[in-house]
Amino acid sequence: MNTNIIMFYKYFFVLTLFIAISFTAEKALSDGVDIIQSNKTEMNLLDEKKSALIKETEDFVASISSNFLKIINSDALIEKEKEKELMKLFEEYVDTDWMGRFALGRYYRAVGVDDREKYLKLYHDYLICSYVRKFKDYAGETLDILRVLQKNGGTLLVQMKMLGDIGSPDIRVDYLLKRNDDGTFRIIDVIGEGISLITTQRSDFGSLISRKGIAYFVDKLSTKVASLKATKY
Amino acid sequence: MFVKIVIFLFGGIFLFSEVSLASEYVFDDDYIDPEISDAIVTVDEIKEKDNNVSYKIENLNRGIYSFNNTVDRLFLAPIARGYRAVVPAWGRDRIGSAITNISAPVSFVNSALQGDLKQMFTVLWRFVINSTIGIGGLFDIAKEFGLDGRHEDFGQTLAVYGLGSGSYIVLPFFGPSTVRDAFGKIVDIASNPFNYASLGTAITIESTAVIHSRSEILDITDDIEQNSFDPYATVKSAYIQRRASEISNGEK
Repeated sequence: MNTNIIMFYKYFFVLTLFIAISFTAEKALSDGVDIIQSNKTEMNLLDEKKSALIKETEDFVASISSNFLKIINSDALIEKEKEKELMKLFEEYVDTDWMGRFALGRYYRAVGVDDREKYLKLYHDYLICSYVRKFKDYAGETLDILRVLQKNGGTLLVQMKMLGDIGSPDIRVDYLLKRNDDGTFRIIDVIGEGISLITTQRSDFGSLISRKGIAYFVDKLSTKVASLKATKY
Repeated sequence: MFVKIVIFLFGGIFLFSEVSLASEYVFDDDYIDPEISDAIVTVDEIKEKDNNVSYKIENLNRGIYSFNNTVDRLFLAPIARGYRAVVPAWGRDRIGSAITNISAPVSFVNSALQGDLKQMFTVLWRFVINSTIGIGGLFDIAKEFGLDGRHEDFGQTLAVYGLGSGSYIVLPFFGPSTVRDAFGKIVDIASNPFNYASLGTAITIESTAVIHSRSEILDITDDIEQNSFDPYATVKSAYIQRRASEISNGEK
C-alpha cells in the first residue's frame, strides 16, 4: 500500500512538473510573440498588402480549379475535345519556359541562343506528353487549399491536400506560382509530398548533360518526345 | 492503472486544446532565378563528384541500383502487380493503415526523442483510436479527429540532432538511403516491439510492408522509367527531397 502511494506521488510530481514547464514555455513563447507584434506598426501595412496578394492567389486557384473541373466533368465534350481544352488551360497557366530554364540549371548559359528556342519547344512538348495526357487518371479527388505562402522573387506557394477517403491517407500537393506584372499567375512547379518536379528534372537532365554534353541531351530529348507522342495513352 | 489513465488523459489535453509547443518554422526560399541557379548543388552531389573516391561511390551506387532494378523486375514488381490486381483498393488501404499502425511504437519513441510532445501524443492517440475503433489499425479513424499521421523514424531523429546525412548510398533490396538513414533503419527494425513477437511475425510484417509500398509506387516508377533520362539520378533527387521534407515535417 505504501509503495503504491509513493509511486503515485512520484508520477504525480513528474506530471505536474512536466505540465508546469510546458505551460510556462508556451506562455513565454506567446508573450514573446505579443511583444514582437506590438512593435510591428509599420509591418502591419505591409501585412495588409500581403494578405491582399494571398487573397488574389486563392481566388486564382479557385477559378483555375473550377475551370479544370468544368472541362473534366463536362458531358458535352468528347475526350479529344477535353484534351484540347485542357491544353489551352495548360498554355495559359503554365510557364514552361521558366520551368525549362530552371530544369537546365547551370547549363542554360551554355546553350546557344538559337538552340534555346528549340530546347524550350521540346521541353514544352515533353511536359505535355509526360503529364498533361494523364488527365484521364484524374478520378475526381478534391484538393483543399491549406494555405498560401509568399516566397522570394514574386513567387507564391499554394499548399494543398488531396483528401483520401475515410481511413485512407491524405496526399500533399503544392503549386508554386509566379505573379506577372499584369496580375496574372502562372504555375512554375508542382510539388508532390515534398518532391519538386523541376528540381527532380534538373538533377535528371544535369546528370546526363554532365556525362554526355548538351547536344547529346537535346538529341535524346527530341527522341523521347517523339516516342512519347507515338505511344497511345 | 489509475495513474496510467491519468497520464494518458493529460496527454489528451495537450492535443485537443490550443496549446502548441512546436515552434514556428522559418520558411526559406529555395527557388532562385535560373540565372543564379549555378550555385545550387546538393551536398550529396558534391560528395559524389568531389574526387576519385567519390566517383567510386557513384559507380557502386549505380551498380547496386541496377542490381535492385533487376531483382525488382524479376520478383518484386510482378508480386506487387499481382497484389494490386488481386486485392481491391479498399483492401489495400486497410492493409496500408494496419502497417502504419504497427510502426506506431517507433514513431512514438522518435517523436519523444525529438522533443516533439504534440506529435508524441498524436501518435499515442492515433494508435489507441485506430487499434480499438479502427479494428487493429485497419481503419484510420483518428484522421477524422484531426490527428494526422506522420511517421518519425530514427534517421529523422538523428537529423534533428544535427547529424549530417552522409553520402547518398543505394542499399541492396532496401533501395535509396544515406549513411545516417541506413543506420536509422537498423535501429527502427530493432526498436519495434512487434518485431520481437516471433521471427515469423517479423518476417510477415516486413515483407507485407515491402510489397505494399512497392505497389503504391508502381505508377510512379513506371513514370520514371518512361519519362526520365537517368532514372538513377531521378530517384536520388526524389529521395533526397522527400527525406528533407520528412525531416522538417513538411516545412521545407
